[in-house]
Formats: sequence, C-alpha cells, structure tokens
Amino acid sequence: MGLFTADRAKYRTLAGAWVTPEPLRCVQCGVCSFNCPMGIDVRRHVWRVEPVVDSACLTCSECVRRCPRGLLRFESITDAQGQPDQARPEPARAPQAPARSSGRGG
Amino acid sequence: MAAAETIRDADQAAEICVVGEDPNGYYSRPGLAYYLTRELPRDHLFPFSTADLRRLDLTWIGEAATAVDPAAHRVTLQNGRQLAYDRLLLATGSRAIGTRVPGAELDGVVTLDGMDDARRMVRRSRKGKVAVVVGGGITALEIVEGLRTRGAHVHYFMRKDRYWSNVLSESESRIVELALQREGVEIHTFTDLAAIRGRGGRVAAVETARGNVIPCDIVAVAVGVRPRVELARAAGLPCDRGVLVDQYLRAGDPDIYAAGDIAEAVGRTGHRTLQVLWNPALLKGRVAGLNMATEPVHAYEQDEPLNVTRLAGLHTTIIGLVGSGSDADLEGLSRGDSEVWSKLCNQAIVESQRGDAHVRLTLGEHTLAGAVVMGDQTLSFPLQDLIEGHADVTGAVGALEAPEAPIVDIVNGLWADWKAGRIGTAPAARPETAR
Repeated sequence: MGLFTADRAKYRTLAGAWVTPEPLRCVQCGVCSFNCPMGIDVRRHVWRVEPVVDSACLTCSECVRRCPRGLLRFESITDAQGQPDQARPEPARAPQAPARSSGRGG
Repeated sequence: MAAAETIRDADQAAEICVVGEDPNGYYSRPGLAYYLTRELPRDHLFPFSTADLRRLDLTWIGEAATAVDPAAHRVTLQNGRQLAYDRLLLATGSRAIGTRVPGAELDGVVTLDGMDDARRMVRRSRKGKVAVVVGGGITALEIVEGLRTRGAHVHYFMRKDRYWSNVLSESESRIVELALQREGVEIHTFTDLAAIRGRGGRVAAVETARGNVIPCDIVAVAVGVRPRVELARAAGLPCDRGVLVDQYLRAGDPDIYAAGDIAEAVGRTGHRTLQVLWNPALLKGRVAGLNMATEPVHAYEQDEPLNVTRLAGLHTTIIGLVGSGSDADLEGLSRGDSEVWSKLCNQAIVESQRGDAHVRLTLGEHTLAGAVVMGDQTLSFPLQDLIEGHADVTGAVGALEAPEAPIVDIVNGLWADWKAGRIGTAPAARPETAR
C-alpha cells in the first residue's frame, strides 16, 4: 500500500548499506563510537579507512547524524563493491605514507 | 602517535619511546571542542586504549624534553635524565598566543591548548557565569559554543567588524555573526581588550580600549598559535616560523625529523607554508615515521589544505585558496587553519546560496583553486574531489562566472564528468598562489 512505500524504500536502502567514512576529514574525536548503541568502535573503522562491516551494525544512523564533521555516510553495499555510483572513483584513503602518485592524500 | 604506529608496522623490533609533557597522554585535540559542548565525555577523546598502546609496545615518558644534542644523539628531559636515540622525531605542536594586557595572569584568563585548559574552562562556565571571548578563527568560536552550551552568557569581542576576514567572504562572515546573535551571543565590534580586572586574584571584569567595563568570570583568548620550535632552535636546527624540513621531513640533520604543526614543509606551490591541521599532521607523522624506520625515500606531498569545522553551529568546509590578507583578531595562525587559505591573488570568485548551502568557489585558470561550503555539506564532497584531483574545469569556468550561474548544478555536472573520465587532470599545475 502507498502508505508504507517510503518507509519500505528507506529500510531497504539501510539494510543494504554500510556506514562509510571520508577519512581525510576525521579528527578521531570519538563522537561516533560514543553514540553507537551497539558499542561498535566506529572511530577505529575510520582510522583504518574501512566501512563499518559489522554484523552488530543496525544502520541506526546515530553516528552518521552525530559526526560533528559530517564525514560519515551510508553507501549501498553493491555500490561499494563495484559500481561507482554515488561513490568516488577510488576508495577513500586515509593519509597513508607514500609512494602514491595520485592527487589525493599523498 | 601516527609516526609511532607507522614505525611499529615497519619494524617489530625497534625500541620506540614517546616523550610527551601533556599529563593526559594522547587524545584528539580537535575533539576538545565537542567535549566543551557536551557532545562527548572527556574520557572518550582517546583513540588508543591501553590494550592498543600495549600492542604498540611503546615506552611512554610523561616529561618535557628540555634539550636536544644532535651530535651526541641525546635528548635531555626536565628531570635531568638523558635518552639516547638513533632517530628522533620532533612533533611538539603549537602553543596558543596569550594576551599581554594588564591582568593576563589572573585566575580565569584561559586559552585552549589542551585538555587541562578545556577542563579549566568547563569548571568556570555555568548558568549565571559571564564569559568574554577575544580572538578569531575556529578556536574562538569553539570556545564561544562550548561556554554558551554550558550556560554562560558570552560576549565576543571583535577588533573590527568582520569575523575571520582573511578566510571567509563578507557574506560568510555575516552568516556566522547572525547565527551567533541568534544563539544569544553578544557581539562587540570595534572592541579591543585593554585590561582585565581582578578581585582576590580572580577575573572580575574586563576593560575595553574605549573604557567600557564588563563584569565577567572568565576571559578566553584565542588569537592564534605559534609552533613550538624552541627545542629545535636551541639544538641548532634550521628554523623560520617552523622547523625547516626537506621533502622527507628531515630537519637539517640526517637523524632528526619534524612533523605536525612545527614542520614547515614545502607545499605544491614551491613555497613553505604552515598549517595547523590535524590530517596533514597525521600524514607528516606517517611519512616521517616510515622514513625513520626504513630510509628517507618517501616524500611528503602536501594536498590542498582542507578542513571541515563548525562555526556557530554551521558546518563549514574550507579547501585550498579562499581568502587573503590578515585578520585583525588573529596574531598567529588559528588552530584548524592553513596559511594557504589566505593566499588568494586576483583569482575570480563566484559565490551563491541555494537553500541551506552557501557555496563559494575560487577559480584558477584551469582548476577550482578553492572552495568554501557553509551549511548543507552535500557539495563539499564533489568539490573536495575536484580540487584535490586538480580536475581540468576549463570548459566550465565561463558558465561559473556568468551572472546567476547555477553553481551547484555546474559542480555536480563537473563531478559526474570527472568520475566518468570525461575530464582529466589540469595541465601541469601552475602555482595559483601569490608570491
């Protein structure tokens, strides 16, 4: 029924999404981890430049909404795995040491 | 810590010793702003647990280092003890410039360097308390937000009449100032702090240059920071505003490196600039660490400086070249700031507000040289990609400069082209900055 279409679409999106960071913006403040109802250390995921692929994640969006720098977003799992969609052309990279000649992050 | 982690990754056997005078250890310094606003309890600011630290197998020495002897490869600590090193990393950070007005030494005059300062502020800011904040840039507003959230009535002094004038546009400054006023912050323009009056050794009031007296309980000063180069300078290492490092972050000595705020590295324009930014500091730490653990062959490459912050509750992303000149309220670089941001010289600027987003772009000849996105941050991600990637936007410059240009749509179009490979990197990056 039309009444629940929007909700269904939203939950379908969330069920198929990971919390994905933009690590160059992160300052390790910890607001994300602090607000996770499941106790996931979101901050550590960002430090390691990993999406939150954790079976405990409810996609409740607390971390996404609370990040003071807005650097977390939901990215659909299929997108993250292959089709560049809203994603950038290359995975977000933390400032890793060297040897990369790409324009970002050094 | 980034260096220590990198060294440990590269070398399981190396002995790593961290000498730090902050009794609180390693924490997210930028996160102090969120502790001030009560978004985060203090003990959540520490990214490394004791288990993490144990795994890193570090020796942590909670002392100040007082001298470095490069020839003897020795560091002297405050307690007189000496440490021998093979490789040394100096990452002593910045120190807030204090006020020199009469009364500066009174109890209740504070700066925000570290956690102890933040706790001091929190202890003095309750409902009924009055705070005076003097300064500019990001830190001044972090303090304003923190004290206000905790119930204090806040006066914000500006020497002229525009907030952060060397980085923000007039419209952006105005947006921030209006937001502050809506929050109940009392802004005083053309106001200079002349003296601080005390009672019983504690702050009781401030006096302005025009002779106005405002009773208050706390005076917060955020007029910028200076890199802490005393150790390096005394050791005979080459210093200017910061420590002059080569592309491998060596500080004029084959076994001494510098990273973080104190490292004055050569940027992509060929000029040395200072940045007081967290992520570039981490990157420098990682590069220096790798070079220390292996060989100095990994060059540090500076990106277009980016920061995303919150000014009077408004999310703001600042990238690349955006402003010029200096700001009357800042004597040194603000924390969260980069000298590159205010190196504009004759580039074209386009600015537009659409819905919740205020967007301003600096147009280089072939690239977007800078951007400020205030409010809704959606466009800040495409802009980050386009600017960091030095996308060739020559084709869109005309459209962007047209009156009433739909900037948001044009940028989204450019981003789609960039991701699809329809536009590439701009021809050999000519330095877009001023000399």
